[in-house]
Amino acid sequence: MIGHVMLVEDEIKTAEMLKQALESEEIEVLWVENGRDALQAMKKERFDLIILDLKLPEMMGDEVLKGIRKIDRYVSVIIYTNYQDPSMMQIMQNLINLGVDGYISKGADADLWATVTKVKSLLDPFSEDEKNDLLSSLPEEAFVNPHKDDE
Amino acid sequence: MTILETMNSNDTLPDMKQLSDEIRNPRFAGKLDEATKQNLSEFAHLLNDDSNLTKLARLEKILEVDNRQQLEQVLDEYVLIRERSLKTQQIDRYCASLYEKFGEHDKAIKLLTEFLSLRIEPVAVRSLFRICRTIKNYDSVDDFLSKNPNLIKKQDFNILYELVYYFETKNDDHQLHRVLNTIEKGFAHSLPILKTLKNFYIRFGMLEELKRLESIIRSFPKAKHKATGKYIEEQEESEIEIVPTVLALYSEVEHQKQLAAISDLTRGISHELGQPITNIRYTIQFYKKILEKNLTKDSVFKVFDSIMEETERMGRLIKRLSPLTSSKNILENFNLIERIEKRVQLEKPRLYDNGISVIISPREPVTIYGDAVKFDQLISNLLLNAIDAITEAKKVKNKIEIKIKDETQNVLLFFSDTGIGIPLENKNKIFDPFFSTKAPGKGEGLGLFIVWNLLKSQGGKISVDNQYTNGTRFIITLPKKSNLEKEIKS
Repeated sequence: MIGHVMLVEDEIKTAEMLKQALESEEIEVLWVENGRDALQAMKKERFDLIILDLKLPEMMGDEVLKGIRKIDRYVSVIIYTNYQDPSMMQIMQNLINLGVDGYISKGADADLWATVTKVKSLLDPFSEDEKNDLLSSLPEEAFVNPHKDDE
Repeated sequence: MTILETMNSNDTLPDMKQLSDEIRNPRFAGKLDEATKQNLSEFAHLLNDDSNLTKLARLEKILEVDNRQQLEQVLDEYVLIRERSLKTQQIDRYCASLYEKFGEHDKAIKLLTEFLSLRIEPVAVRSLFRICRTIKNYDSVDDFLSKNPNLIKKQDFNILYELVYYFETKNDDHQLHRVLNTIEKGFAHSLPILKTLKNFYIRFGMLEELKRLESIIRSFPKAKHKATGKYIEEQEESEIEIVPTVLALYSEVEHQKQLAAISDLTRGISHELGQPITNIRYTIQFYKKILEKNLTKDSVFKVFDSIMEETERMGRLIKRLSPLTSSKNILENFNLIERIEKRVQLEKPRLYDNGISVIISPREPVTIYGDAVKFDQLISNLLLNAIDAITEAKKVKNKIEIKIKDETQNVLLFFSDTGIGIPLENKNKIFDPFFSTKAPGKGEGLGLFIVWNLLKSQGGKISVDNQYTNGTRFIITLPKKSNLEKEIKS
């Protein structure tokens, strides 16, 4: 299991496909259909990443995002929507100020596996090799416990 | 030496006897009685010094009644051609206003321009502008402004007011907006000025500014009496010409509304179509990967079924929108009571399930000429809307009431339900496409938009009755002879 993801999506089939695709890649997914349930879930569990649809019943995605940021300032959030028009771009601009880590478009450009790849790269930005390279590039004393001698 | 020369050269009072002779001869010969002659001489005499202004004005009122012509003659000979001096500046301006009153615009302009070369005085500037505006010739103003270019920057409302008309005539939008802006910034404390400005904004179709100003005006305490005082006249004058502008604006707003509705509609449709497209793509993309490993008949059928389902969904959307796009109109005479009854009959199961009674009154046939199918769509949409509203309200006693009022040109339908009603903030949005407060899947927000469009195409209209509180009441006006006829013949 490489991460715990919450999917906020009111379109059933879209959600089912994305959930199954993510799960096939060892990602744990909680799926909720609206903003209220999303915020409720955040009070109980901690997530590594949230995939948030912009057009949701009752509470729109931007409002939900504000709520999310009140509970967890650092959780990664990917916005996805099938709106293509410029007015939505304006909303997107505002969302970026609230901390958005990625943007995926649905509709005619929808690409399930590209979405999964994006989620994975945010959950686990480095491959095993990259991690080893990174660690070996650090000076040897970097992880020496300064209190070791005191024991 | 004539009297005039006497006056101009040494400022002595004109000789009364000579003046009388002047008046008697040659133009007034034999027409004037002694008292009038006396008055005219005195009038001419008083023209010589500003301190006489009050007396002069009083005398003018008397003479104007029967002797306007003679009065003008005196002005021509004593004031018009004399040199301007600060000693007679008030008199000269007063005389300019007399000329303006008598319709002698050229003479008034001559007096004013000469006076203004001596001294710039806002009220005189304004008079010059106003007269030029009346005669629709701003040559003298152009000339004056070229000598006094800084005048257009003056913070005096007298001047600013006329500059608005001036720059409008000159088609100088940049200066026009600058002047309006100066007025708004500089006179925010004066209600009559702001109301004048409001009328200007209406006149020039400046909707944004108008909105801003209206909220400022609303913040003023309510006046107890009819407005009087400074700048009321300006307010009234600026009101006169705005009526056609307001009408044009209304149609402009109406047009903007239509454009906005189209844009909402397209955005809504592209979103609605985006959903099934996403689903089809996700499904194919997901199962393609599965099939690479393990091909089963089951999973292939899953993909096929899913795609079929999504195309049906797209088809439903298109069908739902068809009342908006179908151009075929079959026009006929039909009894609308009968059509309403049939529609209600069709919804019987849902009405029964939700315990809703439908009352149609009166039941006497009402015949109109129009497209019966479109009328059916109208009633169906309203019925379904009402049923949804009632189901959501969860009241015990549920009723839909359709009252018909037969008028000469139109039929009025009062369509009320005992449902949840429409909150005030949504009253303006309910006819927008894809506006819905219903739970997802319960309504796409097209019903009332379709109703609005159906009525619009037939020359009818719909509004919400604000007085009705026990749910929602729509008031529908339907012409007895549909507009659609024209479309068919052409």
